[in-house]
Amino acid sequence: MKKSIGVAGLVAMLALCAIAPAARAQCGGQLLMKFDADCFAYESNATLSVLEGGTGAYKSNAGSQLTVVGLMTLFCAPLNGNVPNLPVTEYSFVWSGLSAAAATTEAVYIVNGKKWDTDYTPGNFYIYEDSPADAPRATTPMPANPPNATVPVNFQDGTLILQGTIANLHTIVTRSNNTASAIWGGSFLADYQFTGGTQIGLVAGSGINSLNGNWCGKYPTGCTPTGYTAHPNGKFDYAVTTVKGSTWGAIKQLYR
Amino acid sequence: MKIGSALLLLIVLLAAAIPAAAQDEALLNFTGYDYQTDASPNNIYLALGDSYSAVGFITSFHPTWLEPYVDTGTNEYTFYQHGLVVNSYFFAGNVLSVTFVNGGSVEYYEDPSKDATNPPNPPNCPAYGSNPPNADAPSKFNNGTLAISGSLTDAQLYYDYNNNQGGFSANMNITGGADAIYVPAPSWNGWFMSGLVQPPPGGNPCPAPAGYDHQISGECRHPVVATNHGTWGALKKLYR
Repeated sequence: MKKSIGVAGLVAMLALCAIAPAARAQCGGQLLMKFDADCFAYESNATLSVLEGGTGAYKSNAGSQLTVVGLMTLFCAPLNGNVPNLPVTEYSFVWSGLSAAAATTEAVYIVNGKKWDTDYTPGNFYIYEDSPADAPRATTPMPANPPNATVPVNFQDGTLILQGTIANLHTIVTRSNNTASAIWGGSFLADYQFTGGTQIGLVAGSGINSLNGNWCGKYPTGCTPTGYTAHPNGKFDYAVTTVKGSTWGAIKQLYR
Repeated sequence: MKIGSALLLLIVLLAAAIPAAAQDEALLNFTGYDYQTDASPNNIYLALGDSYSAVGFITSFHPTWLEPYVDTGTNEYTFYQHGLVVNSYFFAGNVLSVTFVNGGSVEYYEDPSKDATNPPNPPNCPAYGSNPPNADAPSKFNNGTLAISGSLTDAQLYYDYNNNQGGFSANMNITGGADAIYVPAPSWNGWFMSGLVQPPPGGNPCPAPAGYDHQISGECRHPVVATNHGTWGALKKLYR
């Protein structure tokens, strides 16, 4: 009997340890949510550029629908109760409804390099808590040619903890020159706003914030598994507008 | 017979060493802030001779090469990117692009003192300080155990002022550090990318630190070199 109680107690302790919000050393600044290695983008109508030096990038055609799937790796306050714990619990997300506002523009970069810019129309994002984890990862690897049996399906199951809108998404990909030793760069920047989900109360009053990071479009590399067009690595920033306390007296004073 | 066995063993070893298709994966992922240091007083961002640096935190690790050997509960994991001096400057169409002299480096540290994190965090904010270099940065981001060091070559940075976003990238070759032994030697030569955006004003609970130029988010990617596996039968067949 004592042994059973001991085992039960141990199990309970382990369970508590598993769900206790961890102090995340990496948090700070405006960082709210971080995603990195396991995030990939694909489009419905994109064309590979000329492979100069053996490498290229996907260019969107007008109206091409963008989908991004990924796994969160870090949550910071006030969402730090969510602790990714693969393979037990994953926090997966999907961006959808975005489409290229026009075809990707291609410009000369430095001397004989290229710079590709793409603007996207507004869309939405959805973040799920799911256990056991079932979404593919970069190292599993990502199954080819999405949409397929697990992408985006396994990124949009579980409990919808947060959702919102994405607007003004702009991506840039650069290639320094036209040789095999070219250096690649990239970035993305967008605005987002929470609109719902079971944890919307935790981020009430957050308004419009920045969604930004690195956008790796180098083909062929691990950034662009077969059928994927880019690998975003970024974060959702967070800045609550400060509410200034006041009194009726002070308000009356304004009108005297 | 002995010579034959030795020859066969040599063949097996050689076969195992032949790299198959190479792919690349994220070794380390990070976020932080960057800053410039003027070589001489000027009002130009990253003018010729200016230096580019960045500090911040590692947010995740390669799941098999590094994750088994880190303890984010006990330590903070920071990085310090430095030694990058501008040697060419272009500005056209409101887009800045610069390249850097080879000789830059990036270092990753494991530090149980957590002095950069500045715990408890929250409510305290990370110790970026203001107007770097300062008493906090880089010193609280380059202390502890040097986990991995890497050289940065062919480095470049662009910033598109039309869209207020940019990127830094370079070749990144591992040169040492206590955790370098966990990364297979054929995977040491990789590349490094970070996206740059302007820090938003305000912020809660921690506002953007003053005097930094951009917040950054990125990764270093390294090739995963697979090896071909054969069978004794297949090897014997080659010599029949």
